[in-house]
Amino acid sequence: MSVTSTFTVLNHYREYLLEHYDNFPHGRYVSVILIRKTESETIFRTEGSGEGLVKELVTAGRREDTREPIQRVVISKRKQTAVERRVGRELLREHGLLGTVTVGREQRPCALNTNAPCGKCIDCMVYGYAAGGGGAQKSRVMTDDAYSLAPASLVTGTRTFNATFDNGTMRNPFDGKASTSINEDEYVLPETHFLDTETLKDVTPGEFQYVLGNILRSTRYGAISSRQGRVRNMITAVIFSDTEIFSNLELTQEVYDLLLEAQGGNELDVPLNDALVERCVQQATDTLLRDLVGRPPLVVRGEALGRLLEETLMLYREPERLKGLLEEVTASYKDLP
Amino acid sequence: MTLAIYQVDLTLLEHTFFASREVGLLYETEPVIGNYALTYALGWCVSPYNWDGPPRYKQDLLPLNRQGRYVTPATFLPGRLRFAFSQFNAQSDSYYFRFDQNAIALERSRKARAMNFPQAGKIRLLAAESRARFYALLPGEAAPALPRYIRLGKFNSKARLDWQPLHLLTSEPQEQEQVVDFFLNAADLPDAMLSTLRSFTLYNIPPAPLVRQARLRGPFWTGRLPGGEVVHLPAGMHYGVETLP
Repeated sequence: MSVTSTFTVLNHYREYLLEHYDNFPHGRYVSVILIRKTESETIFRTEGSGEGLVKELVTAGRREDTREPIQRVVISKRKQTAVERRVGRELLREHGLLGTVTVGREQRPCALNTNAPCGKCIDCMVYGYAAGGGGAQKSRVMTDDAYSLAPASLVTGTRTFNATFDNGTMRNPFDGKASTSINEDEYVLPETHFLDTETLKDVTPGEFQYVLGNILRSTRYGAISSRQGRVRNMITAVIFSDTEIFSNLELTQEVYDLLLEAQGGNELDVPLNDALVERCVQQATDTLLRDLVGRPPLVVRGEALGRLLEETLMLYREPERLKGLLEEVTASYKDLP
Repeated sequence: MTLAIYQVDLTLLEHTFFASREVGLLYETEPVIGNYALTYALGWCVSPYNWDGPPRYKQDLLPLNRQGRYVTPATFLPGRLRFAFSQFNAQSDSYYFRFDQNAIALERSRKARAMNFPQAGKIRLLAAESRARFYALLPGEAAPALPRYIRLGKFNSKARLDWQPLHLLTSEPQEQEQVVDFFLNAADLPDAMLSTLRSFTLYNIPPAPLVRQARLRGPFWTGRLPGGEVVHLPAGMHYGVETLP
């Protein structure tokens, strides 16, 4: 009996997933709506140490009176997948399920960004690759830029940092010269909420569990993540549809309006309450889905979502079963034309 | 075969990147969205998840000419375009790594061979909330699947589409001379019309050059938007991919 057939909850949604990987799109979309909440100082920047965070000037909300531009902090798309892929690859490596590649005359393990993807492991097949002479595999996991709910001015701070010598001072113990290592970092405050959607396209039940596990098991994002960058991912809804649903930006703007209304001020009161954010996300989801052209999407949340996530949790708690599933999924790619 | 024409407003909801031009370490997106990219994004042709070969324009787009489907490139509306800059660098999944000449080395003792794709650089993207407009022509009897959201560019960035049908004023295209303000794909214009092309601004971009402010003479469709505005669109445009190398 295959492990896939034991997912009693997920199998309710079978018609929105694929039985087997197919090389051509079928338009079966699974959108995972997430609240990413920082639990320590975090830094999302692209310009290197001492430079500012990635911020964007976007419209605050969707109502007439909230359409002024504000700066929001952004977690860019690639900074999300990069982390979640690595978490998944750790698991595959541990179970010996990363493929090998022949480079020149030697066998090498599949590694990211080395121009030699194996093209056989779940990571290569789900998140995609494009390198080397083996063509390209488009990613079936799409992330969106995640915007902070509150304006950057409310959720960021700066810290001065310096690097001391071995003797704990800023003077070099050998020649007494002063250190030049002093600078400033801008960071996102703990308990800042980002809204996010991850869209999975044409995935099989096993691939779905793999991606969901990666999201739930990823905890560190952004720069200096060995010492900060803790983020907690909370899944608030899983939406099955036959077309793309609303975007992150629209969701953020709609939720911003609802939060202002709930708090009764004209500026957000931070840190935001988790339960309130979640309530507003549910309400905004309903509002935005009304605009959708296509078969009415199936929104899984509340108790049904609890059961779905419980199934994933149980799977990851049983290493043998999990390994069986990963082996099944890997084997399913074997005989592709 | 009757024809339905839509004016479509496209709003970028995230930064969007196309590698239209590469200048040293700067990878730039030009301020236009090509119509072949739009065609794929609209889901009018299916391209495989896994592909090892040259672009598939001929096999993917030619069938659309037979179906009578076509989209023009998207032209950004005045004052509605912003750019964003960002820096990127590749990372490996090993604990030890070293940046060699355009490659990431994983082993302490061995130099990595340079790669043929960029490891670090700066990118210029079209910024979120920029707005562009294009025209979509579909056979009238086809049940129009008009997607609300599509994804564009290298990073699959989300965009929203707002569709407005054009009410055609005549059942057949009429011979006219017009200056077409928005981008047209020069490879897709009917031959007879191309020979009338007098003044135009040429925008050279792979895979096919685009023209705007083009003065053209020939058969035109004329349609009225629900808001009363009148639009003139060259008739007989089709994917001219057979002329591409």
